[in-house]
Amino acid sequence: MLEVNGVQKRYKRKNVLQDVSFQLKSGEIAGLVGENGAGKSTLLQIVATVMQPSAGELLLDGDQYKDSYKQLRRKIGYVPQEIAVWEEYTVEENMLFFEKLSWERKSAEECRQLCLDMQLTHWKEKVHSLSGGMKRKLNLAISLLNDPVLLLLDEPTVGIDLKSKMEISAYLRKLAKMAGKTILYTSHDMDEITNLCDRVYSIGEDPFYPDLLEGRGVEVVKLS
Amino acid sequence: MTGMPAQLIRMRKEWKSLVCWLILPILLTVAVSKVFGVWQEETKVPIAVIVEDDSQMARQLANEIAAIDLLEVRYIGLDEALHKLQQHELDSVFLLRDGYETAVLSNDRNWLIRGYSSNRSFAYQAVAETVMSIAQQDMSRSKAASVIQQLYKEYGMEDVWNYDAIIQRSMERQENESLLQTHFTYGRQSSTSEETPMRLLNNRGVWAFFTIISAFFLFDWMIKESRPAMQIRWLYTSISFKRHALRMFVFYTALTILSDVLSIFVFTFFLSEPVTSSLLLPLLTFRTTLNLLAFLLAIVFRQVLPYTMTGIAIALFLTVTGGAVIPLDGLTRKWEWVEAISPVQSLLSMTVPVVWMIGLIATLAVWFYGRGRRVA
Ligand SMILES: Nc1ncnc2c1ncn2[C@@H]1O[C@H](COP(=O)(O)OP(=O)(O)O)[C@@H](O)[C@H]1O
Ligand SMILES: [Mg+2]
Repeated sequence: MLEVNGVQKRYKRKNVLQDVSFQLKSGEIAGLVGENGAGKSTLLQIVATVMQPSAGELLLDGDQYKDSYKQLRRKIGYVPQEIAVWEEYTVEENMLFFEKLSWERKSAEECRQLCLDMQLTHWKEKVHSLSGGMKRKLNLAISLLNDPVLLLLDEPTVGIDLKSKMEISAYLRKLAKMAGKTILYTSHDMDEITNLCDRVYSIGEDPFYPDLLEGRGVEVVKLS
Repeated sequence: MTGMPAQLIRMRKEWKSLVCWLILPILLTVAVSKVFGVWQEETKVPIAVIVEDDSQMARQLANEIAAIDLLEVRYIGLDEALHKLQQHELDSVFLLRDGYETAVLSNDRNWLIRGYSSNRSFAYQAVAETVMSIAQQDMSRSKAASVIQQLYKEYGMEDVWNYDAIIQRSMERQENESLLQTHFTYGRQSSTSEETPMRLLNNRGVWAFFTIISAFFLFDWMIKESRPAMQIRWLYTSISFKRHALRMFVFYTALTILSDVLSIFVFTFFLSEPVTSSLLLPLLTFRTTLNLLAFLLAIVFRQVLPYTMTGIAIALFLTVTGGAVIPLDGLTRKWEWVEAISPVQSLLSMTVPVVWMIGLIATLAVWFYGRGRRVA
């Protein structure tokens, strides 16, 4: 379970997050919406231990973040908005490279299966010749090598074809509902959000997204 | 690929260019050495040596000058020689005056050799130095002989050794020793007078030049691996990026040492370069210095191209200041302090580049134990 209590973030003069609190149970998928610059990436990075909050506390399965960043990272999968994979490597080389550096041991076959589960084929192909959708999938697959309990995704489906988008959504649902992972992710696609999420958090001043989600049968919670 | 450390994946992937950069310095050194050898043969510096003194010592000196690779020695009359010198057909003229041996034996410096040069003399300085050092040696030998003789005289054993016998002995001794010395020494730091200070190109210096360049091409992996977009991944790995980079460094260094061993063999068999065990430590430390330099500089750069360009500039700078190319004239003499700190110079003189090693290892430690860019 993820607990976020009264988190604030200030960049020099700018207040980005003011008093953000929420909780996520295992097996839950939550969406994060808000206009550009609202602070979605900032919040994800704080939860991902990439950044420290200016104030507030976070707990994962009862463990305080500030006590043990290094330990907690083993349980967190963070999928950055910018694709972070070796462009000159094949899918296989990318997966095996990070498998060797991960906390969990997996065989080459298991790594390949992990990719196939989300329709990421082209095992022997170099990344730079892959489509945007395939790259996004690989970006996600690498983050799953540690078998994280908490998965954080920053716009995992931005700018890719509809088919890949739906394959990623379906896979995320499977991860939450079958494997019991806790998922927090951002997106600008409201159809995808309503289909996938148990709850949606909205941040920022602009009421555009909360209004858009009104009456779609999904719980919308305003943060800060 | 399973069971192989993550650090070897890039190596396995880029093995072709890797092998290429490991072998290329060796091939290029052999090629340059062969081509340059031919060229040097064709462009010997013409000088004249006139031996007026009909003595064993004078003849020997003339022979030693003739033995210098870079020179084409002509034996002609003084007038003709001076005329040719004026016409710039000769680089310089050396006259061993009548009474040379007597002058040496009586320790009279002024009477020994006369050198003539023109404003276009290219080799005069170097030949003059060689000639003087050989003459100097003859003189100290004779001085030693007279001291010994004096001693014997004092103890009333004059008959046991005479002056000539001592000089003869001393020469034999030296000949035996110098056979050994030429075998062990190389480069222009060593101070035996037997060794010719007149080599335009030094094989080991050429090798150093190409090896420095290739090191930068070999270590461009550091720029690729430290790509900013990938930094985020290193938060979720079992080892830190720095530790990973250090392991890569060790693997690549092991490879380069293998190529160094290969180059020793190639040089021994193709260039008849004398290689002895005393070269091992200087070679190993030169290699470590070079790899550390390439590694640490890669931390600063973001793009491969400016990095390798810098590598080429560094190779040029270190090789020229290290005195590996054209140590012929006084050009590097003004720059002795620079020369003294060039690791190439350490390699040529078969010493350990201590200052560089300490500096680079300290920088490595600062980098490794220093704070990363990220807060958490
Ligand atoms: N490292 C930073 N330094 C200063 N300001 C930042 C930094 N990162 C983000 N910001 C600012 O914080 C605000 C929120 O950014 P971000 O979290 O990326 O928003 P979103 O992901 O919702 O578009 C933006 O106004 C952005 O300019
Ligand atoms: Mg963002």
